[in-house]
Amino acid sequence: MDRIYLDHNATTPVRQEAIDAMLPFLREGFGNASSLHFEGQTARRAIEAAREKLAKFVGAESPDEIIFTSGGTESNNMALQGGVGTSRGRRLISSAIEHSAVRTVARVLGETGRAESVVIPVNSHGIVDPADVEDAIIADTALVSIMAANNEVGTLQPVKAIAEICKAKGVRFHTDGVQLAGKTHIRVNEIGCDMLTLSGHKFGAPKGTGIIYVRRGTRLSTLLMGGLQEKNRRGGTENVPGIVALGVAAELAGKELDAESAKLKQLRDLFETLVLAAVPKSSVNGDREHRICNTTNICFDHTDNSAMLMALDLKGVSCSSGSACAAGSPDPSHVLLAMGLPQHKAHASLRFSLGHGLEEWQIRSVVARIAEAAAQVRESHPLWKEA
Amino acid sequence: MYNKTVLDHFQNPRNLAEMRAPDAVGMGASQVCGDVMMLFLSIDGDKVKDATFKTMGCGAAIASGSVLTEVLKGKSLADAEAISKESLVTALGGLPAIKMHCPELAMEALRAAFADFRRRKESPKN
Repeated sequence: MDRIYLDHNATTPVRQEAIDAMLPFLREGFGNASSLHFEGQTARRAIEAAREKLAKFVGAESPDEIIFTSGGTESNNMALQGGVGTSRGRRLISSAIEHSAVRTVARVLGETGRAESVVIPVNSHGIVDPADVEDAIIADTALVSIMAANNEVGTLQPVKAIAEICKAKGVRFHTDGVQLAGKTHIRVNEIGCDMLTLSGHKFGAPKGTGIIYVRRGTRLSTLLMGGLQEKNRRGGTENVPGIVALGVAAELAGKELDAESAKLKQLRDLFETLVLAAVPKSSVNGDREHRICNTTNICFDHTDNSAMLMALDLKGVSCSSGSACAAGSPDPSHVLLAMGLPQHKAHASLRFSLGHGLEEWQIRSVVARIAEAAAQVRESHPLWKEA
Repeated sequence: MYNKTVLDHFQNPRNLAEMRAPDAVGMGASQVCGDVMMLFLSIDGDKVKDATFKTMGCGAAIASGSVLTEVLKGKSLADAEAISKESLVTALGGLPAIKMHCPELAMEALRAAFADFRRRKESPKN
């Protein structure tokens, strides 16, 4: 049976163009970009060309504002650990629905006394109220970090309003923009953020690639100390092939964005309509208006999501019960619980995230498999009665 | 993640049903993950004549309930009470370490069913 992959928020296949572009840098272009000889300078030029592509992709004023990292987790760690280290304040404000790469860092910084961690709640739609952020900001605030789009329910957060508040109060604002890439235009000046995290493998680049955008003038202490790479902001020999691939993936994503996001939204809406019609007692979690174009999170009453995942996997459908980074944990999604969903609903919810290359016939063919899986799993549920 | 036996029990759970007039009912609820299992026994003299189950839980919980009912059927009460979590894991051909609370859930349902059976014997009108 043909497999249908609906887990693009976890990771995406690497685009062929990105693979083609990176391969020469695994072969003859193996040079160390810090070296002054021919091989080194070839690698250097490739990195700087990629940096320009990333700057264009996020709308940065200068390529200098792009720092290459190993991905979303490192970029978020740089923003949070580096952000509380250099500041006049101690308070670190984040939200209850952040990815673990922010949530865990904020918690540990709080527990170890390096920051005072304040977590802002969300409403039942999965959206942060900027007024809550404003109320939480005190003179002693080092950093506000609120994600731009949630990875589990896809909700877009009011980052523009939050950035304005932060600017007015003189507090730096970081946003985890990992789920924006390839789904919506990213313009750091429109958002007004001081820092923004992107992860390459969420939009067709290989794993182990990513950036943090750092607005000129934003002070940040170094996380990875070592060599003078990335203008002394991130030590370590550059991942040249990965960076080259990241540049190509960003360029592609930028070029295709309008057509791609319109297509994804149309397919996602179709998928949602068909699933809700095919599976009794199913409902969408989170705001259906303010969300990225590719994501839907659906609760199938009287099912267990890990049993659903297994049944679907055996039927050739890949999706997830929340963040892949939280898989294996028996705890229900912290995002859904933060939205006020009861435990049993959170345990019965699945995330489907669409991506490049999916076609309408695949979306149509997957619906029957989901209905079968729900019927199969409900069969075992002590309280399930056919309506 | 799972072996063929576990997958088979998940895809084709044995004895998955609520029993009409059981002689004993037991419920287990996992402290670890919140999963719930119901076990229904039909007991004839000294023998477990029939066993069925329902569960709200993951694939390993469904497989654990399924294999428990299979192991139970035809056993004497003494042998049935001697069933261990380890014997269920063995019958399933092994489980991942993070799923060991699933056969424990089945064991809890089994212990509760035996407690229910004894209660019913002591006050037969119920």
